[in-house]
Amino acid sequence: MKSVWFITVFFIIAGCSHSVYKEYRSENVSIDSTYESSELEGLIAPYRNEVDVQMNEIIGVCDSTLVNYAPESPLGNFAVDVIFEKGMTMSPPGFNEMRQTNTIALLNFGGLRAPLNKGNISIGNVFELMPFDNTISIVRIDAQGVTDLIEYLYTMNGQPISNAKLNLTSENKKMMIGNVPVESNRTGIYVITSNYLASGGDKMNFLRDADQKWDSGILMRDVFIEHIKNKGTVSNNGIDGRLIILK
Amino acid sequence: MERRRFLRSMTTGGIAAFTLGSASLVNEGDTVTILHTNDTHSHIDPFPTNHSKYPGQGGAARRKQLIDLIREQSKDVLLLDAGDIFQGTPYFNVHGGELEFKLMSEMGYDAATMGNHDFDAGIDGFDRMLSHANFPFLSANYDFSNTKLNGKTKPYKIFKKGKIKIGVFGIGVELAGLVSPELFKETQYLDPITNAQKIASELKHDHKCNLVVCLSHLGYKSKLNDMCDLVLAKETSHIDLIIGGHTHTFLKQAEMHQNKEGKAVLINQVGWAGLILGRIDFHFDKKGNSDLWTSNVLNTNYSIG
Repeated sequence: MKSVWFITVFFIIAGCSHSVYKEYRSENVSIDSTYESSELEGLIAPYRNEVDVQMNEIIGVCDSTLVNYAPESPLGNFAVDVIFEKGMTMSPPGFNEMRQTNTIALLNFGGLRAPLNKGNISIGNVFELMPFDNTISIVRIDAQGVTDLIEYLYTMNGQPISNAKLNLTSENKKMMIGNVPVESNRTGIYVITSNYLASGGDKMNFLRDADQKWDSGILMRDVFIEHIKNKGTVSNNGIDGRLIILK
Repeated sequence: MERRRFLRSMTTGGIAAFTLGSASLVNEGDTVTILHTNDTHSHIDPFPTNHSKYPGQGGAARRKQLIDLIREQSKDVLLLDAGDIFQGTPYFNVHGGELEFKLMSEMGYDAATMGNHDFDAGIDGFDRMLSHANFPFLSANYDFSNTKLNGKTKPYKIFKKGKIKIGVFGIGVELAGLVSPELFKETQYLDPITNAQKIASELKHDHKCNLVVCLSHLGYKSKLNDMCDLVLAKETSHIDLIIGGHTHTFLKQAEMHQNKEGKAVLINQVGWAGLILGRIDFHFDKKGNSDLWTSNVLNTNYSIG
C-alpha cells in the first residue's frame, strides 16, 4: 500500500544569496499496526480510564425506548424539541424578532445515529445518539425559502421538526408555526438547526442559500446531555401528528 | 529554446536518477525532513477494528513509533501540525486537550498552528492547556492582543537544521461564522494573503531562510471564492511549502503549484484523525546559489508517480 513518489526539481543559477532546495521527495505514510508500540501507554492509560468512567456516567433514565423514523418519530421529536427549546434561549445579533410564531427547529433523521434505549442513559449513549460535533445554528429564510422547505419536507417524506404542524398532500400543503399559519410571516421565518444542515447538508438548499445565518458554537450533544441531566427522565411521548404527509 | 531543450534533457536525467534510487541524491548536500499532521481531532486511540471507514487505523502511540523510526534515519527533522488538535473524541470533552498536547510534546513536535476547533473550549480553555505543550503555537493572522493569549503565540519561528534555516509561520481560518464569538472573544482575524506575504518575505529576505513553510488552517479548497490554500499559494511568493488542514483533504503526495511569481509552491495535507503522517524530504544543493525553475517544463514532467 505504501507508495513513494520521487520528484526532482531542477534549478537555474540566479543571483540568490542563499541555497534553495534542489529536489524533494514526498511520501504520506499511513499509520497502522506496522508501528505498534506500547511506549505511550503509561501516559495514555489514566486518561483513557477517566474517559471510560465519564462515558459510563449515568445522567438520566429513559422510560421507554425512543426510535427514529420518517416522517415523524418519538426520537426525532424528542431531539428537535430539545434543540428548539435551547435555540429559543439564544439571542443572535440581528435576530431580535425571533418568536414562537415565526421560529421552528429542523433536524435530519440521518444525524440521529442510535435510539435512546429504555433504562439508564449514560453520557456514552448520548455520544452514540449524536457522535457528530454539530452545533446549533439559526438561519433566517425568506418566503421562497419557506415554500422550498415545505416542498422539501413533502419530497423527502419529512424530517424532525419542532414548533410546526404540517399537513402535506400533493394538492394542498399547509403549515402552521406555533398555531399561526406560516403565511402570516410574509418576510420569512427563523429555523433553528444544526450547522451541518445550515450549510446545505441533506440537500437543504433553502438553508444553504439563506442570507442570514448564525452559529452558536454550542454542540448539540452538549445540549442533549444538559437537558437529560436537568430532567432526569426522558419520556417517550410518541408522536403528535405534527407532520402528516399524504402522497 | 536552447535552454528549454537543455532542461528537458535534464528532466529525463532526473527520472533516471529516480530509478537508480535515492541514496546518491541525498549525499549531494543537506537534507531536511518535514513531518506533519493536521486535524488530528483528539484521536488518541486507533479507530476500532470494526470501524466502517478506517478499521484499526491511526493512533498516537503508533504515530510516535513511526516518527522515532524516521528520526533514527534522518537527523534533521521538523515535526509540525496545521491545527484542529482538539475536538472529536471524548478525550477532549473529558480532559480538555491536555493529553493531546502532552502526547505531541512527547513526540517532539516543533510547532503547530491553531485551527478553528482549537477554540472549542474558548480562548480560556486553550490557554489553560498551553502549559502542557512544550512547542510553540504560530499564528501570523490572528491578533490576540485583547485576549488571554496575548504574547503566548508567535507569528513565526526559525529553525536551524544543520546548515539549513527553515522559517515556519501559521495562518488561521476566519473564525466568524465558524466559531461562536463567545469562544474566540476579541481575537481579530487579519487578512491571510497580506500577512502571509509579509512574513514569508521577511523570512526569505531578512532572515535568509532556505525554506519557508506555512502551517495553514484555511482549507485546501473552498467553495466560491473564499480563502483557501490554493488561493494562498497563487497569490503569494516566497512560500516553499503550505502544510494545510481544515478540509480533511487526503492528498496522495505534496502537490506543486505556481505562486505569484510563477515559482514552485508545494501544498500537502494528510486527511485527519492522525491516520497519516506527511513526510517531505528536501534536498539542498551543497553549493547553494540556486533557484527553482517552474516553467511548463517542470509542470509537465514532475509527476512521475
